[in-house]
Amino acid sequence: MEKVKEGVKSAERAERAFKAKSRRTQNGMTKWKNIIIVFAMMLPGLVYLLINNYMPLIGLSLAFKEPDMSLTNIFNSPWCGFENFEILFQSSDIWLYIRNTVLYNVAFILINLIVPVTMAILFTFVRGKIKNVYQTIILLPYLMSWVIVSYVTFALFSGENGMLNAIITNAGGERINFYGKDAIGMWPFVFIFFNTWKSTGFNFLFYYSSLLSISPSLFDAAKLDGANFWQQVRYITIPGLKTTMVTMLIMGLAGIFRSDYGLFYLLSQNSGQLYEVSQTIDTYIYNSLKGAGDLVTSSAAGILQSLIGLILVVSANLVIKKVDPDSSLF
Amino acid sequence: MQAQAIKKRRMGKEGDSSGLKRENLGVKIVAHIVMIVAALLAIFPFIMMISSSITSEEALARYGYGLIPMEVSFDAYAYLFKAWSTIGKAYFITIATTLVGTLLHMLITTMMAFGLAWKKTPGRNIIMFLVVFTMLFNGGATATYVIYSTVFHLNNTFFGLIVPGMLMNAFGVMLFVMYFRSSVSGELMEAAELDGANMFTIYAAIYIPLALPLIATLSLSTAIGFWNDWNNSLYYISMEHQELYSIQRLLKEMQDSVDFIASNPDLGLSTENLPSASVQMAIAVIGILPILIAYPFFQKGFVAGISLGGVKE
Repeated sequence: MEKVKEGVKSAERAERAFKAKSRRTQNGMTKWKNIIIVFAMMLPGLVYLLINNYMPLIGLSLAFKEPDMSLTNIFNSPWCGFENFEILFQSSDIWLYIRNTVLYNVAFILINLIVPVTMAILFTFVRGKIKNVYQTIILLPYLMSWVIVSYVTFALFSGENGMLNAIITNAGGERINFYGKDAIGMWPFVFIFFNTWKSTGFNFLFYYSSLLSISPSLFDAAKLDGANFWQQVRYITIPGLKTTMVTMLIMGLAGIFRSDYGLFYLLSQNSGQLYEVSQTIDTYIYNSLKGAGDLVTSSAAGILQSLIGLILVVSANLVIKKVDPDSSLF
Repeated sequence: MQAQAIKKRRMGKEGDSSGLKRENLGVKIVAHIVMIVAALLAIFPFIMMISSSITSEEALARYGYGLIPMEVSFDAYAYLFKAWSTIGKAYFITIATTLVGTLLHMLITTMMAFGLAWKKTPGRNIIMFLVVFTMLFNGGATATYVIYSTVFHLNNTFFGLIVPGMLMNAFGVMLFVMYFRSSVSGELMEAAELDGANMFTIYAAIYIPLALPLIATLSLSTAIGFWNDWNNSLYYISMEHQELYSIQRLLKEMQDSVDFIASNPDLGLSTENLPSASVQMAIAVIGILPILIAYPFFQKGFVAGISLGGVKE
């Protein structure tokens, strides 16, 4: 009797063990099957990452190769060390383009912090249906391409039919060639204005939404304590927006050697007389790529852009990590 | 006792809040003024464009572009109607790139994010790093152009318009990874796995339906990106392949030169009696019209998308 019982028990045990084992292998198999499926699903993204983002890094090697006008065997041309960088920096204009790019970016970073944040704070005081009307209209420029914006500026500044020239001549003045050397002083403001014009709708809604995530009870408590508007802004709103602002700042620094070349290239109609203030590193790269087909110096300029951007981001992040660990990006 | 104290505090609050209220009224007025000025600045170019496009050529020559049409004339649109074969083709290219591009973008992005959100994907962190790194460092325009044109031969192809730089970006992937992680609970996932559902089914039947709001908002901004793109066209489509011109490219070329119109007998425009000033504005209006018409319908979703970015930060 005992033996039978034991036999049954051991049989049960064996069966259980067998079942568990088979379940495990089955699980293992489905797990592997699933991993294969997931990688198959990620494959398009991984391939895209490779061709769109990582193969161009190999393309950067062009900057260290001898110029070769034929596009077909560009990778076969011999190495030449830093010669291309020398050529790049010997062209006296590159420093001008670097200056333009950096100064415009500094202006954009500052204005795109101050204007949208101010508007977002003020927007919290607007109530009712009109709120929707405001945000709908202010966002509109963001949806336009730079080509369209360049039509707008052309309508304003055109020598023949431009609105400004019409006003000037109607007032008895002389026509001004806004795309010429005489009006060069105006263009930095035009670029800054239209950059702000196009991006403010997006930026201000962006800050407004992160403003909304600040707990309202903070404001209530502050009001109870008799804090006025400025005190609320200073001690609650700005600290609440800090992380978002720092993120935007770091991203701005990452791009300090880059420029939206639609803005500079299209709005100025690529007018050679305005190059002194309109040419940035990106329009220079495009112009030398399309004009002279000068691949090597423009990829040398590309390397500079990427490297300096990376160095700036990492160091800005390091500084921020020291000052305020919570706000750092990584 | 406590109630009294609260009451006292409330009274106190009301007592000295009249000054605060007055101050708030001041801020409110400033807020409205700022918003009105911003709104006027935002809408002014559109009014100028539309009004100039329906102004007669003579009036434009005399008074210049303005906010109110001095002499109403639809000549410009009549000209464009005649040139429909070119403009229609460009419209077709723009719509095709927008549809195909947005679809591919969303598919690639969500599948990538799904893989990164699943905890069992081997090498998840490495892949995540590779994605994030692209935000900080890239090869730049020249190197990208060289790779696409010499290795993949995308010049003068439809793919030249949609592939370079536009099919996936790190920001979108990150957004979906966060969304997937926060909206699908681990238990639901495990239950589905135990049921023997394969990962693609889980993606299609659980994740995608849950992420529909995010998919809608991100599709919108992606679609607008494709609609407005002229960059890829400028780099990859040469003058000899005008059949691949998008609306934006056509606009750019038309602005660049009257030569373009002259070299295009197809347009049915002669350069001599061309109402160029109003035609230019009319083409610009045609370029933005679809967005202007659709905007009221997608405005809400679009704003929601921006807010998502703001809150997630």
